[in-house]
Amino acid sequence: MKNTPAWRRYVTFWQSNIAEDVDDELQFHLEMRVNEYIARGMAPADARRLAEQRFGSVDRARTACVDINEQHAKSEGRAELLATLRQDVGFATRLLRRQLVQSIVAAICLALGIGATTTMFSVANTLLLRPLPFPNGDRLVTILSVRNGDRAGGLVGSYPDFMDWRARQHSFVDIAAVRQTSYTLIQETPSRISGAAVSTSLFRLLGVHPVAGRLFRDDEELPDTPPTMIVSQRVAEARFGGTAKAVGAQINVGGTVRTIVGVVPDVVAFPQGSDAWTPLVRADPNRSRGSRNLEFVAQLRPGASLEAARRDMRSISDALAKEYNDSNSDIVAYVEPLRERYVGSARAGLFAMAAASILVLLVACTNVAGLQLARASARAREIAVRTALGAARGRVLRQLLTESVLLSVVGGVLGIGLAVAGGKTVATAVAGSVPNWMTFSLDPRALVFTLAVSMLVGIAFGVAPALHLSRLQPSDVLRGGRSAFGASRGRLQNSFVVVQIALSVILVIGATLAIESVVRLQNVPLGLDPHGVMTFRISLQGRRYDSSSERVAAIRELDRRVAAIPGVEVSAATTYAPIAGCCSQFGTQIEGRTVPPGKELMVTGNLVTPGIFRALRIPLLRGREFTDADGPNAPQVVIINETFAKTFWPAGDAVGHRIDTGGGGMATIIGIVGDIKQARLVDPPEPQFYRAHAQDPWDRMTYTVRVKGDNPERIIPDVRRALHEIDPTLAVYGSVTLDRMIEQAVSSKRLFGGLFVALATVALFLAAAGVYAVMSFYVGQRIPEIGLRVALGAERRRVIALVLRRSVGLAIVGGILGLTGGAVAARVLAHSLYGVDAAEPVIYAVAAFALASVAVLATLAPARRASAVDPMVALRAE
Amino acid sequence: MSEPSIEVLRGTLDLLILKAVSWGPTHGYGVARWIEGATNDVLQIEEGSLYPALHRLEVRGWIASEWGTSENNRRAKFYTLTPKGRAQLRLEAATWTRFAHAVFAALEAPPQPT
Repeated sequence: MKNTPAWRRYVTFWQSNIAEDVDDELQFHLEMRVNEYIARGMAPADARRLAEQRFGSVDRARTACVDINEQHAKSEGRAELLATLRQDVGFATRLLRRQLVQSIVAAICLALGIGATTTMFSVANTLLLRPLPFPNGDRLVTILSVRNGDRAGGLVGSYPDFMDWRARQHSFVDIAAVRQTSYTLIQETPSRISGAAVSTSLFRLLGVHPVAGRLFRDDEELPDTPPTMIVSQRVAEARFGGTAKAVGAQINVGGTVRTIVGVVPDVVAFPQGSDAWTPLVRADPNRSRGSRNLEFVAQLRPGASLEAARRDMRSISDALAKEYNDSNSDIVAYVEPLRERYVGSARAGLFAMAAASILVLLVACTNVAGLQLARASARAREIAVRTALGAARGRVLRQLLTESVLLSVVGGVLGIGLAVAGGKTVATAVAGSVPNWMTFSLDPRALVFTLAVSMLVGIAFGVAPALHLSRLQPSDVLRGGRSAFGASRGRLQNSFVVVQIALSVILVIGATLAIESVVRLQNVPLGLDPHGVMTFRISLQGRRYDSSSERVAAIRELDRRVAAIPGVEVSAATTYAPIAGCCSQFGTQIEGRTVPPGKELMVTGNLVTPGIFRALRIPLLRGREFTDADGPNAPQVVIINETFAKTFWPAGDAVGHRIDTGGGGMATIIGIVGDIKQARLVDPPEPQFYRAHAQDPWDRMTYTVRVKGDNPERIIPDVRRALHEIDPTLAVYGSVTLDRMIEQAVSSKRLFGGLFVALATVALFLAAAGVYAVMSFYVGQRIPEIGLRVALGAERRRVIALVLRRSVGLAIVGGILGLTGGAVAARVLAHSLYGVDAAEPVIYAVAAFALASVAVLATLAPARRASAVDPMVALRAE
Repeated sequence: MSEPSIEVLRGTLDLLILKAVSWGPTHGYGVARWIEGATNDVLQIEEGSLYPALHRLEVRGWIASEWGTSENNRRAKFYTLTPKGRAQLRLEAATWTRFAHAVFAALEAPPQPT
């Protein structure tokens, strides 16, 4: 016989049945006919022959009948399948409703796992993988000037370096230089837009095409060409009434009349937030190489790798270091993908979040698995009864499968909802801190993946025990009662709970670290008092301000007028407001100390008006502050901060010494002030100096005005009026309270912390559900035993202790594993978090406490149930 | 067999079967015998096609079957008319009668002037 597959056997089984019946029926007919003929007096042989003759072909009739019946059986089978499916779903729904709490918990676990993981992966995907909005995006790199290998420290480079790089490099199609700036458009009212002076190579290199007009021509970099400008579509529409009208329009930009030659799509916005571009006029190649204020973008040549480009730039840097020993000795040009500019600092956090969300998914999956196991075990009896009553094994299996699928579908749908909501929350939370083209959308791949994983787990663990159950002899199960069940399954469930607890503990440790970091960040001593300080910026643009005395006069006059606004306590200006991102560094020499060439000290410095320390409430530790007398013709003076003073004059005698910060020669130290956070909250204290604006008058200043009362913003209309009176072509821009500025600096970290806390909460909830499920199962199994104990005189207290001991046991094992894993995770995480110590015992104490509370809370209900067992009922039930 | 029998027209067999089982549960042989008797042996059905017809009618739901014991104590399949079958019988009988009347009328009509 040929080997027939198993399923065929069922079919042949049915077929033989049909054929037999047909045969039987036909035979009966023939027999009756033969009997009839015999009764009429025929010989049996004749009767038989005649009957057969009369019937015709038995074979044909037989085949016809079998065919009809088989066709019918097939269609009947399909109908029956549908009917049983409907029955299964109905039954499953009823059952799930009966075990409502467990079903809800399982569905929520699935939903949370799916939602959290999909959200985090969608966010990570957007940041790490979404292509840049430039055609050449994946070939674009930035070139940073790194000093002493400190990649975070250096960003900008100088024009002479740029020219040498461009001439000597072999790895790039081209390099472009960018200097971020902002422009005052003088129309009816002056307005301020962000933009950049760019080398004409930039747009070509980005691969941008104009919406109207043209891009820059190379000759527009030359100093004596007519001034031009390119604007974004947004600006063209808002200020010029459309792209077509904008091209060719003449506009007064800070005193210079420029012709708009082209309009580019809004999405270009490079550097971030730019709406206007002017050609970066070629600088004198002999200009100081140490004056570094440019950023660089380059497009890799086809076939050139990032590593090759890095080697190339490194060797050029080495050559330049030899040729220009005084300015370039410790500078290395470092090549980095452009994407890093957008992602860089967020990367570590994102990986942490992605890892955390995978942990949550794992917890959710083990949880669902545990719940499903518990359900299956609890139903062992029911299944045994059904099998004993004749339900087919396949039928019972299908029933369980239907239940699991139903549960998974409900969980999945909820999960999708959560993921959508989560995605929206994150999108709103990060809006503003990421470029506008990085729109967050749900990643379908992540969603499909998490859905598939969690549903598979739900189904697998719903059906696996069922398979096992269906193989058991129903009689054994029924005879053995409940206790015959689940010794091994109990172990598996316990290990699931232990895993959940361990993973949750890791997440709680991570969340604690993240929160601690945020709290520390918010409590960082700033060295100043930001409350009630309004900041705004002005930029002295136009021919008039080519004269330094005009710059001094304008800033002084504005200072005087702002101070006169009602409610203003102190008005002062500085080049860079605190916490506003970084600042300018100056090569500084200390009188009487020689440093080897190229090792000159770089110190962050600000040019300020006299009231600055009072406006920001920076304490004056020694000496005096600036006065109006420290003018252009007065002796050069400088104020240094505490760290500067302590570093170079540890004896405390800094005042009176002289330093040269590269503008106006040697200046005498007249005072020492407290340290402040200049660039970032997380920076350690560093040497800083302040010089009087009147002695080195920069054209771009940030005012920091201390205002009485709650609402420092109210002074802005008065400030605008004052500025208009001084010079109607100047604009006030970037007005924001210092409080708000600091808030923004912390917000991304707070978002990170918040997400971590959310994930940890989800994990704890899941762990609680897991503990609850396994303990209720345990109690359910032990009811007869507990009943017996109570009947024999055990106190309720002892019964509760019995149950608690069990869950505490699980918690301890899971806790030890989790604390160990958490210690490892914390060490990794501490690198990307500010001011936290992975070895801090408090963190572990918090995690242990959270874990203990969860374990006890989750055990309360089952323990109460156990203590409420009525011995008579319990014993009779068995 | 006194006279040559007439072969039953297709479709008519279904009608006769329905009529045969309308008197009560009958097995296939009984159906054949009833048709022979009721038509005075004029209509002799081809027994080979009787059974496929029975099974077809059963699949259509006009008749139902059940295994039972025959008058000589043998296992036999008995057919009964379902309510659906009864309605069908009424319909087909009416159709057949109209058809037969029409044929009669045609056969007895006077020659038509051309």
